[in-house]
Amino acid sequence: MKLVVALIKPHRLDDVKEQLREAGVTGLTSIEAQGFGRQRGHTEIYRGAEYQVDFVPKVQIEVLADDEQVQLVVDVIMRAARTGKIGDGKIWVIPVEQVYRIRTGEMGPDAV
Amino acid sequence: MPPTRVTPVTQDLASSLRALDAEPLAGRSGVELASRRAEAFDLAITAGLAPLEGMALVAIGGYGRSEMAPGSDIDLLLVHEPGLEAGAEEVFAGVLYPLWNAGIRVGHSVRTVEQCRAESMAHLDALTALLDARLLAGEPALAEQARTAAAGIVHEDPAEFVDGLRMWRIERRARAGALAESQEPDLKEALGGLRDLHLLGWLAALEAHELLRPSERRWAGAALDYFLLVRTALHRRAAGSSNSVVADQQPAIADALGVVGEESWESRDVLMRTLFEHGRRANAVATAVLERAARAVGSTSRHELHAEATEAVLLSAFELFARVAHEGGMPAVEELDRVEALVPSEPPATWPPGSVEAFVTMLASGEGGVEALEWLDALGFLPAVLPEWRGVRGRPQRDPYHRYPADVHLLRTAAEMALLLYRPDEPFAAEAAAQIEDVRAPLFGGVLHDIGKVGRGSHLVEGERIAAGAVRRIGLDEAVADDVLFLVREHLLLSDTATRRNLQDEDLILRVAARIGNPRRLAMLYLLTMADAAATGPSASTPWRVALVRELTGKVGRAFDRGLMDPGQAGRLAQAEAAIRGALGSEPPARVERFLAMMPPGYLLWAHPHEALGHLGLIDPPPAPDEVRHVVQQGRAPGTRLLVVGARDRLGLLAALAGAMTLSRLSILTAQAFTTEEGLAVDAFDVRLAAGDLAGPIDDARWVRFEREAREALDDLPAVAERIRRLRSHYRSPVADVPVHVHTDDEASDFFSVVEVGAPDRIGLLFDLTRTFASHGVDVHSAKVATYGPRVVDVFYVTVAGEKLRGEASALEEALARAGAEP
Repeated sequence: MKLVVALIKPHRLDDVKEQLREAGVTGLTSIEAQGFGRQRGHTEIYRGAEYQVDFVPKVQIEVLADDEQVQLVVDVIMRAARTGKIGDGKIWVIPVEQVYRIRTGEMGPDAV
Repeated sequence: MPPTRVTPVTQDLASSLRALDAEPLAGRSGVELASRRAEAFDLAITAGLAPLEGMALVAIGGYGRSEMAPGSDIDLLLVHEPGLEAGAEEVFAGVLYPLWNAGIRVGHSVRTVEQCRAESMAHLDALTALLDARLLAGEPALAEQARTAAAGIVHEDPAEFVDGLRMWRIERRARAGALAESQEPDLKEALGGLRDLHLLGWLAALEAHELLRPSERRWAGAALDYFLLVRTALHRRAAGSSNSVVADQQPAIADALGVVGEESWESRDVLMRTLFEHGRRANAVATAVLERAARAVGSTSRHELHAEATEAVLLSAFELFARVAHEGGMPAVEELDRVEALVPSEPPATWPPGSVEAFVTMLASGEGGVEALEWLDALGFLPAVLPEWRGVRGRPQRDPYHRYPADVHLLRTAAEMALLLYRPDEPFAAEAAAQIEDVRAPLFGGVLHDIGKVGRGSHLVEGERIAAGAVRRIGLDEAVADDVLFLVREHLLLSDTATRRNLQDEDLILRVAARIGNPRRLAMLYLLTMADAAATGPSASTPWRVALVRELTGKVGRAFDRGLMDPGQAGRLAQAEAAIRGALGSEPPARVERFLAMMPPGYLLWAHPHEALGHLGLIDPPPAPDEVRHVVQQGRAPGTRLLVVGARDRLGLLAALAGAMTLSRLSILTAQAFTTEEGLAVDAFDVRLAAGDLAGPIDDARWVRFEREAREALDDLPAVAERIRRLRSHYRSPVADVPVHVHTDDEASDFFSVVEVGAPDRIGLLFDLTRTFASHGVDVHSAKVATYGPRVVDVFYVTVAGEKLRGEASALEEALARAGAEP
């Protein structure tokens, strides 16, 4: 099992969610995230007022996936989150030792 | 050895309690049930108890008040004469062990009267528990001495007692909030909960006159009865002693109490509304009574306010509470009686002159204003004079964001708005507040923005309808009323757009700017968005959301500052959209709306309505990746044709189309390139037959040829370049005295670098320029191409990977200048 973690642009979340659902993914966690990569911070200006924005708002999503399902999940996220522009984000995959479903006690792929 | 088995007495108690717990709750009195539960305990504890000499067994705290719920523990005090400690301990063991063995939690203490007094001096909770003392067995005189000792402490320093209770309320507010403000209220500890009703009883020890108005006494009695009933249902359901009416339990409690739903109110909503009403009144009573008590005992207290004499009931009440909000005083008892007695049975069609100003004072007073309006609500005055308020009054909100019921959220939003207007704590808010001269619209917008949360339909649509009635009744000027309705209608625009849409999309920014209309309204909407988020709860005002809202606000603000959108343009855009919608009347509405939402504002302003039907099919359904669709329409200039092409946008698309036109012997007079956020391009060219061309008429065959050439060009741009180079050799060179200039402007737009190229007109010029962009990896988002006699001025809005040009600009400018200067 793997944990697929993706940092995406906030406005892509709905499409990513929808397309993952269509691809048969039944669960997803999303978290408001802020950070910087190559897309650095910037200054927001509203008339005379300025804000230095050091971190760019992103959405982090996490999907638990069977080993066989991982590439599909990555492909779907990649396709749905891509705008072709700077700041589209990143995906990384982490090995998961064990998964349990609290309600039933199921574990492993059954709990995904 | 104390007994360790279950005695017949506790068996009887267990069966009595089981029988009590099986009784239905609908229509019952909470006080009576709680009292009967206490009686069952009384019986179990005193049955078989040997006569107590020199001792008194006393129930204290909640048990002393006979307010027992299924999860309540019991508190016992054995008061004894000095020297009887050992005997008292033995008696107590006989009482306590059977109860413990039966699983009942018992708090207990063994004290002399003097020890009771010392303990009560040291701890406020010991003092108040003793004030509720009730004799169970033993010598009445001893019990009375203990109680009198407690009352004596109150009499010795009544101000300290009252101040201690006021501090205790502040501490409870911090810990448990206010009952009427919490979606999952704590029935006991929250302000306006059971503790505030107990407090009224303890203040009786002051023996001060008329601390409670008659209606306040009724309110307190009704609240106690309801709270105890709900608490009984809650403890039965949850099998515990928690007093929090959590959301999961609310439907079952409503069922157990036989609460019946109403139109647009589920039964659990009616339950919570009733709790909130009692809680608000109990809170008001406790606050007022403590202030009166403080005045009676000479402690620091809020000053008493009297109303100015006026014939207008509503105005008089509003002015009184405007002073409560502004000065922080408390209305005098007789004023509260008067206001309550004058609650109108029918709402006024319009508020009398001066009322708006008084109401604005309340709204502008922050927390003081919330308190004033909660008083008016508790007195029944607010819903009577503003019936539009009734739909949100005490309405729970069931989503992960909202901390408060709908009415409290509205009052708190107005308070947050006042803070932002008068004491902004961040630069954007300060800038926005500085643009607002008339605070009426933002304050009324704050207090009415969610007035449409009435349990049916979209709360934005309902809200505008209900708010329209409210602003008429209130009597706001037309301009202020318009602003208020705008705020109600659009209060989610900034936060929804910021968190869900692509803020790099200029078209989106322009559409938002068009909906807002002008910088003043943007300023009001920004403040409302911030006030709303702050009054909603922590998850609605995260730095993440706030950062996105600020980004959007800044961009929309600059769209106004740059003149990209103003009320005139917004009006023209709305008209253009309506005209196109009308012209597409034969199409399914969903398809039309999809198209209108997709097309940039620039397109809507450019397209003639009768042309739109032809354009719709170019991108709906979306073309395949290698597909090029076209439509030919009447040209904009005499003797020209309008060639409009739909395709998926890609690097080099515009170059391929320009090249295909050149190879089809079409001369481009003007060009407009539009790109949707979905990555579809609609490019329009005003064309005519190339000068001196001998290749035949401008007919269907030429368009078929164009489409073929375009597909080939998308496959192989260099081949097109070579063919155009050969073609150009047959034509004469352009006019030599037209200078070539290239200029890049990075300040004109938040989203694009704007590249302007002036050059002598020649065959294939647009192709060469657009191909130069493509070879530098530069996307052309939109373009305006104009021909002025021998001179062409082309303006391109471009990006690289979605960003403005950076290091690429100078190399690109040089390459464009070379292309423009080619013979």
